[in-house]
Amino acid sequence: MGEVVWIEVLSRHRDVIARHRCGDDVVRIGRAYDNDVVIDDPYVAPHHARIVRHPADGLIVEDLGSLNGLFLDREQHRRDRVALGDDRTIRIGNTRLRVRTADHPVAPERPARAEARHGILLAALIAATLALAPLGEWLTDTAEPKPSRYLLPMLGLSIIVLGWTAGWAVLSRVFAGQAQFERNLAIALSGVVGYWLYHGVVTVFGFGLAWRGLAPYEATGMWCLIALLVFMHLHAIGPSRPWLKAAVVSALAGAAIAMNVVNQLDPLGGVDQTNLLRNFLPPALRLTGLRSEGAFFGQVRELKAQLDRDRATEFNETAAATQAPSK
Amino acid sequence: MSPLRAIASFCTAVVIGLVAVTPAARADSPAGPTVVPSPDAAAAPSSAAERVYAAARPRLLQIRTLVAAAGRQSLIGSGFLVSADGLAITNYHVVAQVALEPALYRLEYTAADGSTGKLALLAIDLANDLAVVRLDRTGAPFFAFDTRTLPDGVPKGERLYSMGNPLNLGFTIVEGTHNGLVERSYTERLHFSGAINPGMSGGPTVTADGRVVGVNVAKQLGSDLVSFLVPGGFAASLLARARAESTPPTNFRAEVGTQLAAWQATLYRRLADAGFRETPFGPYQAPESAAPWFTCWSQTNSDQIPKPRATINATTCNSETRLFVANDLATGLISFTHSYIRSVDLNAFQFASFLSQQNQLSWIGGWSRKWNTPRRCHEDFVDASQSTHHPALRVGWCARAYREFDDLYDIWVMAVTQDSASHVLVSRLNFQAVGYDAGIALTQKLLEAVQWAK
Repeated sequence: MGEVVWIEVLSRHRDVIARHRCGDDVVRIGRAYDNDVVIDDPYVAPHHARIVRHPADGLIVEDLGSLNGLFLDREQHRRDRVALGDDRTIRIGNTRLRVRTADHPVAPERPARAEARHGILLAALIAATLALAPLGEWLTDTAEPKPSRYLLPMLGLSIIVLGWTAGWAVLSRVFAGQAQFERNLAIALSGVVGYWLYHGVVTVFGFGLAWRGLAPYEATGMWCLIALLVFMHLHAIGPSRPWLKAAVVSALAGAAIAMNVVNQLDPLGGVDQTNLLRNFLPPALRLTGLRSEGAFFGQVRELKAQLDRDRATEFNETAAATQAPSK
Repeated sequence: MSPLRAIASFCTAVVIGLVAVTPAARADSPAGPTVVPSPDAAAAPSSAAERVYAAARPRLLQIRTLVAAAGRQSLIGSGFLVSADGLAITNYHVVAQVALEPALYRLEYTAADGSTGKLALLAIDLANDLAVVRLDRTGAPFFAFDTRTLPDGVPKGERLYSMGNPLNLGFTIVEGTHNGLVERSYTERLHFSGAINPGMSGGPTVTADGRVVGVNVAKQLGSDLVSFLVPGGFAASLLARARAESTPPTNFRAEVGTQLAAWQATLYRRLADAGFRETPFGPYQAPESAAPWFTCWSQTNSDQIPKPRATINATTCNSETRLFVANDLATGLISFTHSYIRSVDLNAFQFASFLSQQNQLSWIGGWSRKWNTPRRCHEDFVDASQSTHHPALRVGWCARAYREFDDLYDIWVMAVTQDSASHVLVSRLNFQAVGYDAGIALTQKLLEAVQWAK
């Protein structure tokens, strides 16, 4: 054979755990120490398989009569021999193996600038968070000015962000082998800054356009934001199957949004009781013209029809209830 | 604004008569003749009250509302006979459950001699909290009404005797003094300085010669011996009306709706007739009702420590027009609140936050699914007047319908001036049980009157 091949041991998530360089014609794989590639997996036979070069088929892996057999990755029926072209992964016992030849193409070198940009992005996000948090506090501060009012929420926010980031870093470490703390932190912080921007826009439009209906549905956007955040964290752990991840995350967010909407539409939920003239901003942020008195009361008049409909529908319900006990 | 509510509740007379205890008192006595009792030679009464009570005793009733299915009392009050054919007067609030839910409740009386029997509801007067009931027996002695016209006929200080069955302890007579009509009350009420207690509702208050001056109706909670009577004249006219009707109404629920609609129409007409006066608030002026039956209270936060960063000067005017409709429904309040709020050292955003916080506290109470639909609201920036002498307003409007009373709504309006980032006038209006279009017209008129001070 002569030609060098690399035997790669893969994790469940197809990340490389170990690499063995082999230059012999026959590569023997098993748990025993007389093999070329020793695998510490109790479900692997002492002499489990061997890789040979076949004149016609190229590299072939053959089962050497093991108990648990030889499988192509993700397949359920055992095979005696597998041709190893096309970057195939095989499974023996609980171990996944991949064979690569020396001419296997690799990705071009990544420029170091990109990493530096990540650093700048993270620094910018931290700076934005540190600036926006007290600004938000300050704009709504109506009590005695006290430093603790600014420090405490910052502390709380830091704990939440760090906790969230640490959680994802641990998941990332477990499933991808590396914590990627900076990347997860950047994602978390962009979520925080994104929420503030979103909340600001909703507040300004809710007040400026007198859209009373906007506030109860603010949570909808928040769920979307959380879903996007979770997706980005999942994507950071491993880029495989993005559609499945997106689908799961969207389904969960969709369920949360649907619950919120159903709650709001519930006639007894009382959407209208809670959010009338609730959020004030300086009058300069009015984005719409003044409604004429006639137009305003015209719209108020339209509520009457709605109220009368409410009265009709619900009255029947109680009328039935009160009449029930009569003889 | 929340402290204002505490004051407001202090000023509201609370209806009495809502106690439920098992009856115990038992006695018997002869039926007296007609009205004016005369001292008996055999056993000379030692006091005027003893004489009045001896004569009144066979004419008094305890009126009990029973849950029809259980046959037990759910509410007790008092009443008194006013005719030989078995008609008696009591309060509407004593018989309200029967009027509104005839399938669930029925009425029963207990006389001072322990005899009991059934009562039929004949007529109600929602506005004056009165009802006429018919006993299942006739021929008992009865009370006559004092015919002196009020308020000048009965002098202040005249001794009156109030009777009834307080707290189910047995029939009782209470001495007190007459103090004329209650001032600044929309509903005519006599002020009686005597101890009226729960259970005495619907009982008579009589002069020393045993003629009915008024019907016990309410006491002021949190005060001493401040009690209220419905003037006897209203009872006499309701009695006449009940006699004139050949058949009593069968559906008192509808009758309550009709009377409520008539009552509120009069109330809002009188509100409009009384007119409004412009009251200054900082650089603004806002309308307040000139009707005498409004009580206004002012409140400021300027004396708070730590020094508030925005000062609030608020005036709340509430009408003294609460009307009892059911145990869980009193309506008819009209309320105006104007708050002038000025920033001390808050910037524009902080001042806006301050306003938001104030407003979150200001939407009073929940709603009852039984009587009302949920609120429907609308808000916008409004140019509320044709003249140039007025600020732009942010107006919010909420209304809910009374489910059983057609074209009656509770309406809340809040208007906030939008011409400055450092001071505002917040006007809140609350109209209970008003017609929708009447509510709009009134609101429109009041919003137009929110102006810069001239």
